[in-house]
Amino acid sequence: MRKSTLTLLLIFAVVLGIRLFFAFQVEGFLTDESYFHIRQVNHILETGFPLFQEGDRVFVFSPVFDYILAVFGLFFPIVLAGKILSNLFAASLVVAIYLFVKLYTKDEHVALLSALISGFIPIFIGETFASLSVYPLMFSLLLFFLYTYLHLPDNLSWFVITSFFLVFLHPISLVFILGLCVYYVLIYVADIEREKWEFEVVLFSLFLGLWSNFLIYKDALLLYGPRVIWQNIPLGLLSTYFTKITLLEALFFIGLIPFVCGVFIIWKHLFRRKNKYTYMFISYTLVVSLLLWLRLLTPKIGLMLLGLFFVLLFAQFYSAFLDYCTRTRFAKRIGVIKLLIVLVFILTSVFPSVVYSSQVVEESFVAEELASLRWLAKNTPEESVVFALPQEGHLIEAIAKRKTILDSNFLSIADAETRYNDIVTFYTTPSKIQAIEILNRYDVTHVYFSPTARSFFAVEELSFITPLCFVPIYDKEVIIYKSKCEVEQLD
Amino acid sequence: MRSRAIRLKKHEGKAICLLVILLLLLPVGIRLFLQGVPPGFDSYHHHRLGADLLTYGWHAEDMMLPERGVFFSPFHFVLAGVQYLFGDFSFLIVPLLFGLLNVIIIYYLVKQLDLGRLTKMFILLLYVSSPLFLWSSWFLNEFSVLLFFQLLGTLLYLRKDKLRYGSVLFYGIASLFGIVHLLANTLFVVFWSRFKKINPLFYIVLGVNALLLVFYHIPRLIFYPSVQIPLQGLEHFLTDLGSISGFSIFLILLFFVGLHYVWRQKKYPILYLIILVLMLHSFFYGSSKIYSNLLFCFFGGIAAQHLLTRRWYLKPIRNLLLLLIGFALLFSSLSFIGEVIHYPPQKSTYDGFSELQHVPEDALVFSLPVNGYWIQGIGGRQAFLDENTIDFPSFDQRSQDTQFILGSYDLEDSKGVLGRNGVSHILLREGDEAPGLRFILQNNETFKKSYDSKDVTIWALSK
Repeated sequence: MRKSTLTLLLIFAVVLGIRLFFAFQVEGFLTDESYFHIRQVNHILETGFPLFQEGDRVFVFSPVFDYILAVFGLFFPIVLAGKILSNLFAASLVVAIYLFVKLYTKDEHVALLSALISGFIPIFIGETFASLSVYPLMFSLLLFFLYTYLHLPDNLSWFVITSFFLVFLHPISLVFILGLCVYYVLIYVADIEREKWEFEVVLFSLFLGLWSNFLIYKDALLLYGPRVIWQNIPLGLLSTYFTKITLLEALFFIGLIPFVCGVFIIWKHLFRRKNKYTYMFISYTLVVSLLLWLRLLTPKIGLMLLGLFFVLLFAQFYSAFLDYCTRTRFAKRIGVIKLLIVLVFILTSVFPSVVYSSQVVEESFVAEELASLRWLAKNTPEESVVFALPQEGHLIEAIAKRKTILDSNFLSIADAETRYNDIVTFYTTPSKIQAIEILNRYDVTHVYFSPTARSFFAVEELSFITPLCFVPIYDKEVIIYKSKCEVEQLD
Repeated sequence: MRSRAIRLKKHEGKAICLLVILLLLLPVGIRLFLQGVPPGFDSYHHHRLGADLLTYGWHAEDMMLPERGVFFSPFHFVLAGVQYLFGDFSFLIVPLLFGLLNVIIIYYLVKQLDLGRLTKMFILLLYVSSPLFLWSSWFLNEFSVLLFFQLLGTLLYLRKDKLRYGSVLFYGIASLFGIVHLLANTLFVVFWSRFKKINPLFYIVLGVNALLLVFYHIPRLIFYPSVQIPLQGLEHFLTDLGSISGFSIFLILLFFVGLHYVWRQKKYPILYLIILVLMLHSFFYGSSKIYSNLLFCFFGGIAAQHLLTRRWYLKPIRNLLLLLIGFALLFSSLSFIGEVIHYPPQKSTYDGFSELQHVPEDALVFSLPVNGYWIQGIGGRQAFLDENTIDFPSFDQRSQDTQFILGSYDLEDSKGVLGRNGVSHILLREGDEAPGLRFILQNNETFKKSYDSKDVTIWALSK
């Protein structure tokens, strides 16, 4: 085996190992979205079909990812399969970045260092190591999509297959296609020679992306119009999903070296040099930055994507930098320079990644919550309705198999805003009457008061609780109350 | 092969005709079979104004709400004429007939253009399957009639014989529909003058339009400055995002591709300025959408022809793309047809509003403004407020009172406002946002339910 292949495998193993190490420190998953997928996979395994409708609720989503998980779910427990698969997809980015960088820099060392950096983008590792998310797979596919695009017309079949797969997997594919369109416009404006087929392919991708997404999300689009971008997230919660990000946060989450080098390359290359690869990465960086600035993309996804493209731009920088060094008096000390850069990278990317991930593990209450939910599943009637935060909705529905009044799939709940306001009122009101009225409105039988709710609303306890109306039937880190009272209007 | 091609060419016109008739009649037939009532909100308003014109003759005030003025519109005269001949069938006949006539005129207009046969066919196909054409041909509104006058004016204007002077009349009638429409035909005439030698007709059309502007539109703007035109947005522009009178996003994409091809010819710089202004106006106001639709179909047709006949470097991509475009436009139209079939009012809603015919004739019915046209058009009773804000002196006061009544939980306060305005009945539809009003309506001493169905509930106020 070649030395570079061995090194790449080692990097892949280290990245995967660190990810799995953190992943198995947590029981279950950290995000509510993960439990939505678990519900879907369980339903697919039971019936062969995803759960598109539950009572009055209609879930609008693409089930391709859930089918992929279900295949593995046939052979392994779903949590285990989910954790391994999700981290495998994420770690495979290392290989994709290596191949991509090697393609345009033709430098093994640059490709290997870029691969290593891509494995330690703090936000990417922190947000995906313990969640069952479609994004790692999407990002790997995006790189493959761009790789096949740059190798057209030879890889036409692969390009078409990847395009179809991407657009039917998740609506974020529209951002990828938008990036491709901006790339085409940029090389047109910069007067870079275009291949004859590029217009055809960009137009095809645009039509395919729009058509498939309009097909899958038609009902939601007709109901919510352009607001579908914000997924019908209640106004009170919108700021937690679409938060502002400062430059310092961006530096921390993406990593200092890729960020600074990426910005330098954009400044140095845009409309000055004519490298198509660089223009492609610049286009994507610009599109994602613009969407982030307009708050059309959540910071988590935006920063993960930016991290990815800044690594690719860093490779460009690093290659040019090494080339420059060899032409100066530092040529003899090139080894020291490389080592220094690796050290700085460890300090600014690996270290924050590990800190961020450990912090996430420490702050998680998943074990306690899972224990309480298993208890809930065993000790409450099946038709019980549980009152909880929307961020805990899928978790409760997947583990305890009990209905909640709101979960994070807001597109399927037309009155999500009203329901969310009722949740806020319930957790913050001092009035017992008001609280019971809200519970009665949704036929709630149990209240789930978790550490997440405590920290989210900054309340230690619910002030209106009295044993007459709210009986604590489970009292540990999580408290589960049984609701016993009803408000009646007197004539 | 050649004879087959000729045969196809010969039957092209018939095929398009058949498609138009099918597209126009089939959904209307399904709608009538399933719902039994015509769709739309404004449709009922126009129908009532047409009927009032027929019964009382032309008056400058609204016969149902005398303090409100009615703007002169040639559309209501056309409608009244059709109502005189066909009665309530005018609801269907006017949009369908004028929709069909518009396709025929566009066919003759496109024939005169220096374009390939395939391009012309694509332009027509895109037009007849465009949601905006379908909307204006299914809903009773002024746009199909207005477009008829504009297109007929244009067709005559392009003629070389004496008939061309007829364009002055039709352009004049179209200009009476609104200042935007006056500007539209003026712009066309000016744009066309760049290609043809200027003749006296050019000056006559401009002169008539100038007279209409000075003596008709400007006084209207001065004397009725309170006309409120709300700004629209993306959800009103694209049918794929829920608009009932918008464009398919795929048609707009094709339009841009077509524009890209024409742009390469480096001609008609003024055309791009006109397109930009028109698109912005259509986006924010909507009254110029019928012209934007024509442009979208025109450039879309050019794009479709280019995409079909250009030299492709990746043949499989060509086949996939053409298939996608076909599917996308087809799905867009089909989904729009589905929308129209289920568009309000449903039969049960119509029956609920019809119940108002049993309340005293001088009843004043309070409801959400969106229900106003149906209260007047279906129930035949005066609505406290509808969505027509033009020349209505007490609009602001009534609007404030409406907001107060809908939101207030105080029975006495609401009773006071209702009593001051002389409201005798309240009507609410299932799903109407009126939290306060719904709360006080529980007081059955003040509000007696006179009709209750799944969709509509009517209360009478106790004296």
